[in-house]
Amino acid sequence: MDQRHGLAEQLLQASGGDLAAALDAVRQAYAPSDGQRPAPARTPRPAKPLNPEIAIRVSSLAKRYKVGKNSVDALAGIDMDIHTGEFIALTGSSGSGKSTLLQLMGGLDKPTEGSVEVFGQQLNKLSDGKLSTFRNQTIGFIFQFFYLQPFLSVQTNIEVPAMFAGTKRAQRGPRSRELAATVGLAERTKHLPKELSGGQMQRAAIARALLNRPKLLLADEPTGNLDSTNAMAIFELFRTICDEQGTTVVVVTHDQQLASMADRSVALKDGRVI
Amino acid sequence: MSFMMRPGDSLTLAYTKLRMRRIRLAITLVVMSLLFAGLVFLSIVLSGAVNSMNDFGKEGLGGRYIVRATPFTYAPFDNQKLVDTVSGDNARLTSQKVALAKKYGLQYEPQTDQTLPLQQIQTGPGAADIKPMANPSSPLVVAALKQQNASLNNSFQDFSTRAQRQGAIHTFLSTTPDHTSGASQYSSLQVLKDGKETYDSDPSRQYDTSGLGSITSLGWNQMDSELLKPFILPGQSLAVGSDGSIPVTAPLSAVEQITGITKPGINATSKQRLDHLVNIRRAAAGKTAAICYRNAASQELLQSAILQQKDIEANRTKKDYTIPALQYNLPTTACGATSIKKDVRTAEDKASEQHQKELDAITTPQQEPKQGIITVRIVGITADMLGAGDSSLSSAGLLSSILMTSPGQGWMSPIDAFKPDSLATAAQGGNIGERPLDGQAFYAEFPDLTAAKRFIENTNCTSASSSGEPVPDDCVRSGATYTVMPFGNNAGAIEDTQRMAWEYGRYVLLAIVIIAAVIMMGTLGKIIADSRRETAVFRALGARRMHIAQVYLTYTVLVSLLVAFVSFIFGSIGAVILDRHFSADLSVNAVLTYNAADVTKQFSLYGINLLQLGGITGLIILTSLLAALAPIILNMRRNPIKDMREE
Ligand SMILES: Nc1ncnc2c1ncn2[C@@H]1O[C@H](COP(=O)(O)OP(=O)(O)OP(=O)(O)O)[C@@H](O)[C@H]1O
Ligand SMILES: [Mg+2]
Repeated sequence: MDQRHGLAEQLLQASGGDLAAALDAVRQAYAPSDGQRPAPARTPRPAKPLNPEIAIRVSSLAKRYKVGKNSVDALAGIDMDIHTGEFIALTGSSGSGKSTLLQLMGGLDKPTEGSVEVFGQQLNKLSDGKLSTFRNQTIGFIFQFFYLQPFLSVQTNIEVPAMFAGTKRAQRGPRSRELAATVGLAERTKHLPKELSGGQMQRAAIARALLNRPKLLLADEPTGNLDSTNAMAIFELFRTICDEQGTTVVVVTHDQQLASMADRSVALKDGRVI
Repeated sequence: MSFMMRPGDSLTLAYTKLRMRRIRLAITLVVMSLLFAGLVFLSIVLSGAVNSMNDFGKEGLGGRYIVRATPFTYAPFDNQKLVDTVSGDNARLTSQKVALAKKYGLQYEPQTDQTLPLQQIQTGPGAADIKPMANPSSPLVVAALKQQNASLNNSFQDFSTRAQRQGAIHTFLSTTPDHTSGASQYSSLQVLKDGKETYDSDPSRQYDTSGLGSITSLGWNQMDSELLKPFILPGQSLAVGSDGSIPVTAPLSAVEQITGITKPGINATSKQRLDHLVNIRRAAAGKTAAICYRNAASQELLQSAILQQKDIEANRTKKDYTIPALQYNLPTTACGATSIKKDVRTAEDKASEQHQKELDAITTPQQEPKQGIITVRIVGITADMLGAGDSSLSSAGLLSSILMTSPGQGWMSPIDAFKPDSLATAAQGGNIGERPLDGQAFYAEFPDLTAAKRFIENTNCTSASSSGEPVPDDCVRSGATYTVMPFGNNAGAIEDTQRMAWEYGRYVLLAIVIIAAVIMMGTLGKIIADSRRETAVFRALGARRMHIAQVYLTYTVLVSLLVAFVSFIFGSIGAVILDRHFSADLSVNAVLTYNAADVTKQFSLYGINLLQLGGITGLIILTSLLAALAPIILNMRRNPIKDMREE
């Protein structure tokens, strides 16, 4: 069970059912211990004017996995529009199809039915090479387990997407250092991933995802391996990226609290939007 | 976005892979390196040997382009024509002997007479398998064989004409110990030690390839003085001495015995070995030795006297033993005659013995015992023969196999030193010209390598003999009835060595590559196949299939280079150990073989041939690519998503 839910429940019980007191306690529990980061705004975020441009259009999307004789309908007909510059939280219980949807949005897999259009580009119409370029230039991926190269320095890790883009070392150096600073790792560029904390590792992975200035960030449970403080910080980072760069962000999370930081939550159940 | 990654970037990604799966990688490295270290080792040792040979080759005959030819001859065995030729004579001699035996009333069985020109040999189990065969000891057979060989037109004269037509500037003649016919093989040569003759008839002694006994196995050969000159010690001449001494070169081990200078032990330093060489060259030059020559009759008489003495010794005390009527004295001086101690035979016995002699003389020319000392003077020292010495993998053997053609071995004297009718000439089985062809070797010197090689090409008989004919028809037709090889150290010999090494080496190479590729598939291939998650992450970050291939190809090449490096270290260590172990002995032998003026010259087994080492590295890369290809292609084609889930 999710650690934070457990904490909230405990506090709820401890405060004798007083919801306001319980929420306060939760807020305290979430407050960063070093006190450097401000507590997240609890007030509902002021409605942002919606950009009319569609970033992702998902139409009658279905994905069926075949495992031996059985088949699983991971996605059973999804229609969804995500606007440019939106910060979307994908929620839903385990096995509801969140990861599957995210992967189809990133062109990492092919749908069984329906289509995904990213910035006007039908993904299943792209050749493997074009799709690779598309991923490299337009999409940034972030994973639950970071997937940093263990024997490359933080800076080199951040630069990996530039390697596939064929960018010169001299060109990408300033960019990766700048991004390291943005995610608070300016002092850590020469370190190896194992010398970083979990939160720092994920921030390095986010910097990596941002390297080629993607218009879309896809993150699958990026905070699943982090404590609440770090999780909050990561979501704040997404928020900033979204607000300041106009980057479209889709994040999978189990955590309603974190999901509330997004512009919009989309919940899945049994492969359908609810 | 480019199709390929920058080389530096794929190197970065590949290099970090080296730090993963370290234990598996270490095993790969060690196993692969051990496999390829063998090749590196061979390359280093052979290059070292070739370099050293080139270096030593400037000495002695090295700078000259000489080829050595041995003529093809008909063998006395399996030779139906020879049987047919002598069968008339055989019948005549048989009936002559039967008649004479009958006349003298002697017992005579032609079937058991081993001196007849034809011998009935059982070649199989049945009665029909008894076949007549020519007897190589029979003078008639020898003469008939000579006649038959003459039809091949490959005498020294023929050879010289042929060689000169093809640009030879000189031709030379020598004898070889190889001949299989003639009676001289029953004579004996013995180098006297401390002036004493030994009657030890231990049969194994005749196979001694080192020491004084080597004169029996290696033979005492005659060589054109021109070819001997390069092996002459400083201040020595090839002329017969005023004391009648015949100049001779002798193997080092024999010279050690003659001079009484003992060989340094196995653990001696190279300095000690070289000092030994300097000493022995100084001490040996001009030193005389006595060779006792006994002709077949003398040897036979001596042997029977020895047997008789042993017999008497063993039976002396027995009551009914009677001492033979004809009793011999062993020679009283070294190499002396065997004399009669007492002769109490009856006239009848004597007559009967005379008759027996007469009967024998029909097929075997009667020979008076003849023996005497031939004084030889050491003018040169030759390397010991292959396999001689204390260890089975002796340095001399190693050197000989590396050299292939060794210019000088064994006991050799200049042809001019053998005066007609001298004891020395008798010891040689007569004048060189009368010697059977299979006991001769011919040499031709050419002005350059190309001419020498061309001559070898069209004079060396390489075609296989057909239908049991000992000399291939092709060669007879073209007159190329010789086995021709480069002589001494010249580029041709080195090239031949390398070609031979390649001839067999390529199969070994192929086997190594296959074995290595299989092992590599299990290690390197597995590492790549196991890198699915990494591949998936790269793909998610925008890597093209080509990029994935590029990273793992780079990784494969990196591993190969590491393998090459470790192989080089292993191979080098092996070569250094071998070099340490043999260099000193080899240097001594090479100094002898090439009669190097500078005795401190080193024969090293350590040499770097960049081309070969590069080739081996290429081979390692090729092997690894072979092993990595399938997993790399699989990785390229994978659906990235499935692999990310697996963790
Ligand atoms: N490669 C696959 N092969 C077979 N079934 C799969 C595969 N991937 C996903 N599934 C199935 O599809 C369904 C949706 O999976 P998905 O990973 O999208 O869920 P999720 O919402 O991400 O769950 P979680 O919160 O546990 O990560 C599940 O029932 C899962 O078992
Ligand atoms: Mg999931």
